[in-house]
Amino acid sequence: MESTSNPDLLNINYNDWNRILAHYFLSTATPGHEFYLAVSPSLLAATYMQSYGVQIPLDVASLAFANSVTSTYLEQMIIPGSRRSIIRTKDSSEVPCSLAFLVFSVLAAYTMHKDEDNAANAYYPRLARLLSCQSLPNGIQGLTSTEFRRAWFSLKEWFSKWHHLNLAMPERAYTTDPYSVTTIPCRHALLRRIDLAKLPIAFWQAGYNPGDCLSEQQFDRLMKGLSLTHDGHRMLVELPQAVLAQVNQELLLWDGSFGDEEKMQSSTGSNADDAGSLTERKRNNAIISLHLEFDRKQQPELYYAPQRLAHFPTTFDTGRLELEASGDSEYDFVPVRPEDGDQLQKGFVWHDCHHKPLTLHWHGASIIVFTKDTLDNFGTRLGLPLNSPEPCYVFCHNTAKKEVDHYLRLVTDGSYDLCTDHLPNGWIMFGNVVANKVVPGLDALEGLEIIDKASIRLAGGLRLGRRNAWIKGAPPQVSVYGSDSPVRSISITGHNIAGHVIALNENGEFNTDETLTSPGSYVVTAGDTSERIEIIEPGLESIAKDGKDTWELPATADYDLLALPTGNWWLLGSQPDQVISWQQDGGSRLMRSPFKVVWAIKLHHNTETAQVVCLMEDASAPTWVPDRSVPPDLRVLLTQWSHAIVSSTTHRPKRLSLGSCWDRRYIRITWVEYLRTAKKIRKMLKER
Amino acid sequence: MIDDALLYWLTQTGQGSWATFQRTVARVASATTVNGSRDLPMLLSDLGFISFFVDGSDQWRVRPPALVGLSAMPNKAALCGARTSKLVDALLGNVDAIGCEVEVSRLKYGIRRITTKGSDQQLTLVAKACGISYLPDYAGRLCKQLPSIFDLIEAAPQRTPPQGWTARSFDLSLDDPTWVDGFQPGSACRYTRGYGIDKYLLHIVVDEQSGEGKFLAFNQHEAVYAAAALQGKQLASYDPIACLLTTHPQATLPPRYAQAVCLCAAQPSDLQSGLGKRIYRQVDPLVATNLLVLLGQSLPPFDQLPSFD
Repeated sequence: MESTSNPDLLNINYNDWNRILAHYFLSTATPGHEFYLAVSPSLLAATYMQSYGVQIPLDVASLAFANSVTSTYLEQMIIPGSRRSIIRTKDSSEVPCSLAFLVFSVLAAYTMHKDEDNAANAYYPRLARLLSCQSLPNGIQGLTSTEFRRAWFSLKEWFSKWHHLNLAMPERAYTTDPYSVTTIPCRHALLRRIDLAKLPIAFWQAGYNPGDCLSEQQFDRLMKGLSLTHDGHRMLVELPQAVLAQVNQELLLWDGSFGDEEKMQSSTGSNADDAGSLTERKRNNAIISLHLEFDRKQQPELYYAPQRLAHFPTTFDTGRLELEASGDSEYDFVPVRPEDGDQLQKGFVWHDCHHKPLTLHWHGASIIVFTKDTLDNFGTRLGLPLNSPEPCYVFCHNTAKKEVDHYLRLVTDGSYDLCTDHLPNGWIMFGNVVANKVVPGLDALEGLEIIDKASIRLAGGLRLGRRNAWIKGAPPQVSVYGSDSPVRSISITGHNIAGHVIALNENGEFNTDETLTSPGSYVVTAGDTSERIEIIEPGLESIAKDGKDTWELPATADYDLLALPTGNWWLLGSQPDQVISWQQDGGSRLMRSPFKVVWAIKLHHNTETAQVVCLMEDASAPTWVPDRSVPPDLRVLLTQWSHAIVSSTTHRPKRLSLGSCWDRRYIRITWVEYLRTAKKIRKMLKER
Repeated sequence: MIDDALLYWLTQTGQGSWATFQRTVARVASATTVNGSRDLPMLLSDLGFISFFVDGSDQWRVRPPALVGLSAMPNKAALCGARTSKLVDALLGNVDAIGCEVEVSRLKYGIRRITTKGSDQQLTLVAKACGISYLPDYAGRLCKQLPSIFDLIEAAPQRTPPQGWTARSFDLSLDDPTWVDGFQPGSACRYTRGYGIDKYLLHIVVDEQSGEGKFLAFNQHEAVYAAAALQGKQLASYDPIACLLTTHPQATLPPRYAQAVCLCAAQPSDLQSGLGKRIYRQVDPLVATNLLVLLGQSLPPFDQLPSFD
């Protein structure tokens, strides 16, 4: 994937944003649970990446989204006589056109905090400012609070009726108070920017990786370390599950970047950002993750996997290592050497020699758990999933060995392996770890907490990017694990299927090849856990249209290209004036002939036999026989052409064809025609 | 099982890194095909579906769909490049409507080889109806565009070998040429560092007595053939009777040259480990002889050609 900040690439219109946002929320919301349109720049960048396969900086994503909504709002809501379709109609995919606008209204709430002109919760002035229109006492220019409320409730109904999803709605929104509608976007924003900005460094300090999913316990620990604003704290108290989902969403979408620690601390609790501004500060620090592979002998191979941010260079030069961009927001993996054991535990920073502020960080750890992730790679994981079908691999520094060994004996049946070879110095690996016990009252080791919630595992198939979408014809295998009480069946709802109950086999799996066949969206439910799966019809939209690598070949002069062995050759075309003499001496040159060569003739020389080689499968008889009035220069060519043919016959030439499956009889007849014409020409030339 | 679904996935994705490609293939390849799947990128590249290592990067990219005229099979064309189920349906429907013949067979890994037979005019109409290009005698025309290995040596920029990387050389003096550890003067050199993509250089001896020379930037396969051409070593040959072009298994043809060979009949190459050969079948004799000369290899003696008497 390429990264870019080229604004031309961001020229997507309102309808496209509407479509990709609908796509995102439909693929992430869980049926039966309230969900929020908790938008943030990382969500916008992720939806863009999901749909266009291009990584863009967070601030560019926000500005591109704002530009498209603002211009559409102006055209459709403010200019007198406009159709107001963004709050009234549905697009060609039957998605309400209001979705992108309402998400934008949440983005306005996301950026709110107290400033010189407005109180922290003065919503309409912030929305008006982002839309470049006037704020009114009961709405904004072009939109009354009644219309605003109607749009929200209409969207809620659409999600519920067509997708069985429950869009959250604060109780106050049901009252008749005209200002109550502003509680909807404010509620949907959950934690605002000023609080979310504190998360990346907190993720980094806790050693979390993009894609990790926090348990409630880990979430509590993380939030206790943060100094939230008053509004943020209120959201955390009132909607802890929604904020957990938002923080997990931010962690899932996190690009592994974080700002300088000092700056982050100075902004804690203050109002450093401009109100209403969508500009995000570029973060100059990115994390290094770990990646595990096994070689052919099943020996573990550990790699550093440095994240590459959109504004990072294609080559990150640490002085010792030159890391080349490897697409997919990463640099090349770097093997962890045996002598790296100490730095693996303590952590380190790589600086780019040529771009001083840019750094890559490994936070260090004494216990690291690897499991197969949803892309079937071995990545790090927080905790040990209960009864996982895929075993875990626990890397542990010698200083924690006894504790970990003791703990694993308690939560597994003790059948794990211990590996000490091919590892960084001072480290050991517990292999094939499957946690299958929940021990009441046992204090979990940090990083080795038991995850005992039922999980749906989607593995294999041909997945598109990091979203839950697979190409038609190669769906994922679905299995259920992690629960104390085994799940025997699942239900599927989706394209032409409504609540279809399917029994799982003894391994907790079922065959999806016959179920997930048609393109569309499916929801797989096991107990109270659901996963949405999309099956995508392949299209040609992603084929590069930059003119490179097309099939077109540059126009060349019309010539015939020939390879001939060493010797003196006559090359003849189908017209008696088409003749070239060619001396091939090293066999290393190609002959370019201005005409289509039918015959290559090598005449008898010393002990060498003459050769007549047919070079064209569909050679035609000579197309022209000259009369007696030929000019002198043409006589030379005619003489050469006829001489080569007639002379070749005097010493029993080898008559050969270049193609083995060409029609020999046809070639023989054609050769006779050429011989006859050559003799006729020789006779004519003599008579003159 | 790898089949057209992989082509659909590649088409939908458009482009990506080598690592993504490998991971994806590993996910869908069964245990029996995992080892063989090293041949898969070659098949996809040689038959014009994907370009790998675009502009020297680790990126792959899907080529646009096209109906490619087969040089060794007059009036036949194969569907190459990006593929979707809708495009295949459209092609099959239009072939029928326009009165061409269609032939569908399975290549290795279950990928469908779809060819149509008809006059130039009919094939042009089919392609137009599907919204793709028709390219008559593609391999023959591609040959005219390819540089000779000596042109590449002439144009290659000089480089210094990367410091701290491990050197290997392609040892042409062995009966069975292969990559060996260490640097050998006058050879194709491969530099690795344990991660990322390798770098290839061609070393040319300038002073025979001291063994001193210069390093030129090259791609992997071109470097091997350039070294062989300079040393007069034969790595590829053509059998005009059987229309087979064979190469040493460690000296696969460079991608563009391999494409010209494979698109003569839309046939992928076949590694015959037992025979120590890679075989390209149904290669048009004009294309084969031209490519051998372009790659600095000797032609087969012409007196071995079939007689038309």
